[in-house]
Amino acid sequence: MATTARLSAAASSILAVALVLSVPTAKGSGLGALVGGIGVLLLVAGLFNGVSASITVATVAFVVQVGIVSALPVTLSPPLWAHALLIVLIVEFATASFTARNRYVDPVLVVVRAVGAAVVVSGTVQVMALILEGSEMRGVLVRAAGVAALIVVVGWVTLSWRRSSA
Amino acid sequence: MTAIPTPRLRAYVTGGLVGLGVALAVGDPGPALIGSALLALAVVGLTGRITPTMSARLDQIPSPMVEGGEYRMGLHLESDQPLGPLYVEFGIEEMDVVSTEGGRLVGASTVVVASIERAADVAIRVSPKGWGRRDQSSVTIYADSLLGMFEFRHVRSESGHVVVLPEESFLRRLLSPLETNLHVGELVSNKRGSGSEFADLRPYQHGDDPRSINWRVSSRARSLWVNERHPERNGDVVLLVDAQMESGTNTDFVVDRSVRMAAALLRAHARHRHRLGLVTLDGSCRWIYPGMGESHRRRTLEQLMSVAPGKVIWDAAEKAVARAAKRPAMVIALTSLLDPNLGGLMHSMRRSGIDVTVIEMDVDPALPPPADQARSLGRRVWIMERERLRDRLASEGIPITVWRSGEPADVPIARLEQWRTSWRRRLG
Repeated sequence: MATTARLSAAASSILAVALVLSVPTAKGSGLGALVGGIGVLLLVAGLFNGVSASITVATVAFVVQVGIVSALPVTLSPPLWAHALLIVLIVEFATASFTARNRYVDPVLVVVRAVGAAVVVSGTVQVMALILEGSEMRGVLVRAAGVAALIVVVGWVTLSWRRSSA
Repeated sequence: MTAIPTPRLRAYVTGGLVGLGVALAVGDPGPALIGSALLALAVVGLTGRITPTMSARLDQIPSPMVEGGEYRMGLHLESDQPLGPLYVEFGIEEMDVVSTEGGRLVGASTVVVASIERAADVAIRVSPKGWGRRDQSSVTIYADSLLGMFEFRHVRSESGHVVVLPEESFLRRLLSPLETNLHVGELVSNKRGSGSEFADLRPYQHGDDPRSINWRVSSRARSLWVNERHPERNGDVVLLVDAQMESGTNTDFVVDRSVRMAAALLRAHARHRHRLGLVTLDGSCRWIYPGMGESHRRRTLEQLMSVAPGKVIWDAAEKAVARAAKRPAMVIALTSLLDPNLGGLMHSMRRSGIDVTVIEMDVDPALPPPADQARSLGRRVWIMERERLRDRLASEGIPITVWRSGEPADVPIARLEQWRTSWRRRLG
């Protein structure tokens, strides 16, 4: 494995561990940390074994982790924008690690692209959070639609995983 | 170019959709905010999916090359839209890119071209390592789409092959064939004819060229005498390269030395306008009849460079040798003499009147020291058997010498030339 690939994988793994360790565990929010932890384990295993689908699985785990923690009466830590920032950095570095295994990747370009994308996404999240502050999504219909969407997405992830493993 | 989605696109799209779903399921906008931001990033990245059309042409490929040398090649790139940066990977087997013009060299074989508008030219200098016949390189060009959501890839496979010759070892001495052929060359033939080298005198016969009359001798003898001369001819040289290897032995360096010596001999004999033939004894025994000219020389070198060490089928080997090595050719065998069958082959060639010479490749460096007394005794017996084989070949009039490791290529040639000269004197 090239040096860029190793460093990117290490950076991605460290950021993922940091994200999960910073999540609160009080009042049942430990379940969120558990889901995130599974995501980290799969990401690290995927980076070691060359399974790129682990990036998708870890991203999903981190988003679900945010969902679980934000549904409980605990303060979300790290804040939402930091979550977005870390998720994008993890995805960018992990992707760069896989790319660098096959060909040359400019390390400066990797860092610039990762930081740029992360800052833009976290900024967007923060702006939207300020706009939507105080709003709630309640009701049976809304939840039913959400569960249906979840089933569809889980199916899609399973399909993607199979394709990438084939 | 082919567009291949990167793992980040799948992660952003999936993560975004899951975020929206989870938000609806738990009734909190938090995951939806992250999900929508990730989806937005993916959508922006998807807009850069327009796959460019690209062509790449590698030209000015020199062949043959010599190992360790530096050669310039040109790469012409064309694209229907501006791209950058481009990563150009030269998949040249056992060849390093040493320097480049029009790009930045990273690693052993990748050149980064900062950007390309419509067309760009990149020049590279390559240095081949080791000899051999290699497939012509493939050139792979990579580029990233907007935000890196897709990887554009273009693979240009070149047909044909490149021949890399061993580093030139200059031979100051050469073995001269005992017999010559009918073509005009640099060797003094032992036959009589028109030439410049004086051979003998004989009485004038009707039809002799008056210019060949030796007037000084004729005036003393009071009858006409003419000079006889040796014509200048060239010789046929057939190289027999033994590339057989026993599986499980570490003797591939012997084949490497044989090929290096053969290449040096081919070059040197070609300079002296000898007709050159080649028999390679490897997994597939192949031969080339003695011939001259640039295309023949190229073909001979290509066969030599494509030698693949392997087990020899002796029936095929004998047929190959019988076809290529015929009188008046001089056969120079480059062998490790590990297989006694080769001794038999030399013997049968000598019996049929062919001028055979053997340069034996030293195998001692490949042998591990004997571990115990029994092995030591076995080694001594083996060495004695090899000595006996050499003595037998020498007694049959086959000059043989061992080319020791570290010796220049001239040394065994000088020893053989000395042997052949004294032998020629003995024969008169």
